[in-house]
Amino acid sequence: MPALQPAPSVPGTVLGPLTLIALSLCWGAASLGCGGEPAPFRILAASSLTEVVPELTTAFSIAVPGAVQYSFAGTNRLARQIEEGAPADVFLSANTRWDEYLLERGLTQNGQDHVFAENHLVLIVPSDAPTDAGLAEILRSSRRIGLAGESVPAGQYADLALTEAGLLEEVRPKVVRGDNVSLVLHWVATGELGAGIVYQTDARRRAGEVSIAHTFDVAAHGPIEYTAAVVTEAHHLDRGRAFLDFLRSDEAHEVLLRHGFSPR
Amino acid sequence: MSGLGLTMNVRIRFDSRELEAQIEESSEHLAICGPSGSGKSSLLRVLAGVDRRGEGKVEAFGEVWQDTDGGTFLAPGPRRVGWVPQDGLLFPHLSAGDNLGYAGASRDRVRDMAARLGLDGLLDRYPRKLSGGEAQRVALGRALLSRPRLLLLDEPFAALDGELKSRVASVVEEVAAEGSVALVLSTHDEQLANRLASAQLRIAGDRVKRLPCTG
Amino acid sequence: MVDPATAIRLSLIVGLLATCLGFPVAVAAGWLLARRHFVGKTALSTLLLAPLVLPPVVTGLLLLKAFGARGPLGGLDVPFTLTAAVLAAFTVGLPLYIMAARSAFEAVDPHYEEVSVSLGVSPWATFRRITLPLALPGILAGAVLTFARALGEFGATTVLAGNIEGETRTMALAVYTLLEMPEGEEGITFLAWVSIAIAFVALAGYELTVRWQRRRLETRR
Repeated sequence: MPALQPAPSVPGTVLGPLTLIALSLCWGAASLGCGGEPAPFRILAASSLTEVVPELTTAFSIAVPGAVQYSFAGTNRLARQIEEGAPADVFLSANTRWDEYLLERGLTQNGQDHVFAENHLVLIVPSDAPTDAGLAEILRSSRRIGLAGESVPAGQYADLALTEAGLLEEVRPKVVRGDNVSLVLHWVATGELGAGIVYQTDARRRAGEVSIAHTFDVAAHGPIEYTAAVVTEAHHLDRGRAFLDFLRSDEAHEVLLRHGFSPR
Repeated sequence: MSGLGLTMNVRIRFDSRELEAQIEESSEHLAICGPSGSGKSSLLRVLAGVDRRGEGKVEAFGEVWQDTDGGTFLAPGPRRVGWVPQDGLLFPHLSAGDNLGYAGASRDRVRDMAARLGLDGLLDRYPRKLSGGEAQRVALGRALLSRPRLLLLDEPFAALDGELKSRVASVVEEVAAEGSVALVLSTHDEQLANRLASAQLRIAGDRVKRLPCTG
Repeated sequence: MVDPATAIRLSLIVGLLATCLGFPVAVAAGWLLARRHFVGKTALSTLLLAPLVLPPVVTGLLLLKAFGARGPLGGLDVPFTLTAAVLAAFTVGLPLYIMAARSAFEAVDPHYEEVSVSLGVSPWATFRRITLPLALPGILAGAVLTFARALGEFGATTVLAGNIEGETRTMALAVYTLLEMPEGEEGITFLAWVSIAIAFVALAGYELTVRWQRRRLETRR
């Protein structure tokens, strides 16, 4: 560590305290990384659940107390992390394919009805733009259209929905891919893009800045289902199962509804 | 062309010290003596116009070069001085030949000057491949080739010994005579001062005095 | 669809353009910071170096605020174009460029400039013939770093330029996209090797320019 090597120009009297400070900083940083504390209850959740999960766990913690940690990312990345053995207790997926992928490999477990919520795909426009022109007309008149990346579920659903509507090839040259739905939402909310396709729950997050101009029929892209599973290697198996049960409670449903999800 | 007619009435701050110079000289060839660190280099830098730390008035060739109170400061270019700093300061990315021709001298003039200073065959060499004496001569040649009316030599021959010193001194004498170039030289070498300068000043303490270098 | 060859081509175009456009800016700012004292110097240097400490995504958001449809420079129609990718790489790479140029200028002994001016050469010509050539290897070392940084640029680009195949999907974005596709393995491996190769060439170039700088400023032993 170069910072700790005595520099010839620094008087010895200053060096001692400096070394101490540097050492204690390093120690502090190290202890943050791997403390002797028991492992916290870790929830890995799809990005689209970023806002709702903390609220759910707050309600849950009243019944089952204890520290909770979250990690949000694309479902696919979280699945890969669990596959690589990352510490986790509960996996909340936005894509049944990845959920099944882990189940088949015995990496996660769940009971019946593991789908706990549904979402919808919507076309949004900036709040100052008209919403009544209809899907095809809005897409045709927008100079650029924001879709999530073709590798994340929101982007794949959007591609399916546009294909079904027979519009994908026509609008393809105008498509701007955001790496995640939030970026698409930001672009439309700030007026960079005339239209974008996001989840209904996202549209609700910035209701003042975007309006929903069209809600896609579930038949067009298939159901958008959120599933919950307990990780087989979990430190807190029982607590994980309790959380899964909690997701089906009225209390949880009320929270989910408030965020635009359709609870199941 | 009017003669050097140097008048200086300046106070120079350098290295947290001060030197007061009150000089009125009609001589064209002037030596300034004094121990190292006494401010000889700073005095020459003020004359060259590359150092603005001098406060007061400097006149030469009937022109005002600097007048702090009057807000006048003549840039180095129009002063037409050939300043040869103590360590030569050859441009390290240019060959000896390109250093000599830096101010725009023709290739012929560069070659002539190189021959006079004993630098034949060194024109393609870069400064880092020159000896101390060679570098000093290139620096002298570079200043002479800029067609100065005043040559400012700062400890010019420190890196030269015996015969070479005498030879280069002759070149300076010749050039000074040919082009009627005035000369201000700083040195602690009495012999050189006596040979090249007709008037001598000596720095003693924080003042420049009209004393011979000897003694 | 992700085409690795297109991504490499785009990355090289973006990197080269950002590096070339950055040159005059880095030279001007580096010289100013190295040679001049003026009011607001600290503020200017903080502003210019900010992208180094800001998360790139934040830099991207700030650029989007300035160049976005509702921003003061919205008329330039920059976002979601190749220009946007270049602008992102330029902004994020600039601090390294300026810092390199600044230390390159600081390493040039101002006495050389004094000698040049005393020989009747104008200050501007002195800059061109002495200061710039002496600092050039150090500035080029900064250019190499900027180019390398541009190739790796991701955060600011995704926000300002989007991830558009054939337009703004550079190598970093292509790898990111492929990472999430089960069939992406092959493309990732290819792009990873190309990145490593470019990184080595760039670092070798950096090392060479640094040595060249040292040699150039070398005087007599």
